Amino acid sequence: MVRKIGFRSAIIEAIREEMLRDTRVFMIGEDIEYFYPALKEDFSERILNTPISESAMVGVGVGATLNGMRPIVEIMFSSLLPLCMDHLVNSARMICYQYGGEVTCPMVVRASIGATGRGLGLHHSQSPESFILNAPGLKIVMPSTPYDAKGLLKSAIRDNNPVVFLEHKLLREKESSIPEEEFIIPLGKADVKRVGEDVTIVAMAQMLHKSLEAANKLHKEGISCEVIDLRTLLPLDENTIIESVKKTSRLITVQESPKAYGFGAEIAAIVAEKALGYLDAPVMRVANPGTPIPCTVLLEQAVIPSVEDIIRVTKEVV
Amino acid sequence: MVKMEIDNQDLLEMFRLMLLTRRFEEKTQELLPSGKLQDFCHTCIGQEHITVGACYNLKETDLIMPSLRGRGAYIARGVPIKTLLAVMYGKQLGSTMPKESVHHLGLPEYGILVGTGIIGSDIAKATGAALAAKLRGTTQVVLDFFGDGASNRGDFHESLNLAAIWNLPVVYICENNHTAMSTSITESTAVEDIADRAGGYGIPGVVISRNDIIAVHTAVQDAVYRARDGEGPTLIECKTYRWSVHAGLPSLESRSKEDIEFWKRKLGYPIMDLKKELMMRGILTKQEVSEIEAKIRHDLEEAVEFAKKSPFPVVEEALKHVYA
Repeated sequence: MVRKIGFRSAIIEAIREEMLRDTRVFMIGEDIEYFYPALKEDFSERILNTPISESAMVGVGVGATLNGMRPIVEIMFSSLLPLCMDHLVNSARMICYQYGGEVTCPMVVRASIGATGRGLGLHHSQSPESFILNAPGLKIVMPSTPYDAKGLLKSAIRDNNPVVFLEHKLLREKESSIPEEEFIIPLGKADVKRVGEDVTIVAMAQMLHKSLEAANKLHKEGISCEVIDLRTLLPLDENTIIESVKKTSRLITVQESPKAYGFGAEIAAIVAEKALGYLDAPVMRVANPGTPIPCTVLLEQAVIPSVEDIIRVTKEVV
Repeated sequence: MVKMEIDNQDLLEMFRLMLLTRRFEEKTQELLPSGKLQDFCHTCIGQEHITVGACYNLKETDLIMPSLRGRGAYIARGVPIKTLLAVMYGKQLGSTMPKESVHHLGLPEYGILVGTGIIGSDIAKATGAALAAKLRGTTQVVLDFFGDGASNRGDFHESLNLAAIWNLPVVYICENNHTAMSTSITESTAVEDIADRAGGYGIPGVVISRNDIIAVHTAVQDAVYRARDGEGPTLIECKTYRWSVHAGLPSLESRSKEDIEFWKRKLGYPIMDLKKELMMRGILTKQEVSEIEAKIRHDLEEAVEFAKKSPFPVVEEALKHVYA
């Protein structure tokens, strides 16, 4: 049996299934008892509201792993993640290293990302993955569909490493067909969401959907795009990218976060190191130009890559 | 639950543990100029009674989060001094040893949680360990040690509040040695007693006003008893003073000799005072003190030899265990 469910339901299903499967899994976060009443009812003290204390919330999560639990910490907006950076960067990601592999830090930190076109403003609209990408020991997941979100979150909860799980707010409008039976999606494996011949477009989360829309339009103009959904930024599935570039000889990365030092730059570097000879055109990055996300919707949309931006850049290299 | 009363044997053992801690710290300071240690020496000289007194008689299943000056906690929990010294020499004794400073070493077999070099952050981790203890339905208690400097970090305030609202089995032990590197507590903190901050979170705050191991042990046992009984966290502030230089580096000493002597006299001498008390009660003789000292000297020499002889890690170790 296949059902259509939305992004939020997919997330809740993943949490519910993993909490049933493993009594060590619990979740803390601001207002979560209000936002997840059914989980609260079924799991009681394993769903715990917190005061506004983001730093300690992640620190508490790390400490709970040291005493045998597997926490999920919900951080409402990813603009709050900088408050948690100390525990992510100085503790969580180093636990396994500090203990020489004897002890690990199986924690998931969930946070919403992205601009919505509804004027959420500078501090509720950021895409902060670049802040945390330079901290080996963390895994970073950014799903694009409810199906992927469910399978990836289940994997993240079972993973013995700290995982930052970034959920784009606009994905709450998406639906996926999801099987009744259990499934998981391994971390670190990209998914080719559209097969094509002329150019490889690498994207994630909401930018994946814009890239697919661009690919649709370009198809009508005779340009065949291969669209890769990375799904996991750390560890990065280099192989899928390189194999695709060997086929298409052209690469475009699309990200909502600022261009400089973003993941697009890393992918371009990897391709330069490992597949430069296959490239027939410069690698291009479609990204935020290097600004905060303004509140006014008109300005907000001016700094978020659009479908038209992706089409324009694709035509430059094909 | 029945509280453990301390008898003469306990007092003798606490005396021995404090003395061992003191001599260990002195030895590391002596070794530091040799350049052979691959670590700094954040010693607890003058503060040994806090960690030893607090950790003495804990249950094996209880957990502790040591502070930067936590050597006594490691020693009281039974970690061999040769292990600690070998780590300071940068030697490999097992999978954990080569990568983390001896000051933050996590040792699961001794119930010691791994720390960080970020002062105050471990307060949140200790609180999380206590939350896990509660969710798992154990009778574990977590002891969390930190200094006066850490009590001005946001994590201190966020964590105490969380522990209070969740009624967690954790005892926060602030070793107020009146100085954070060169900054006096009078410059950094407006309240007279850090323990007063407990009131802001609706939990008991206790002040131990002298370097008195019996007072520390008794207060911590009371708090542990409360925590184990489901009555929640306690903040215990131990007034004390750092007798040695920060990080083993004389260039970092900002305090005058007169100040240090003043505070020694004011707060007392944790080891000497207990020794006098035990000798006065007739349960310790000069001869026995000499014997204990001789045994410690011997063990330390043996530990230094062991540390020197132990192997360095292979360089490939640096690349391992970034991910589980």
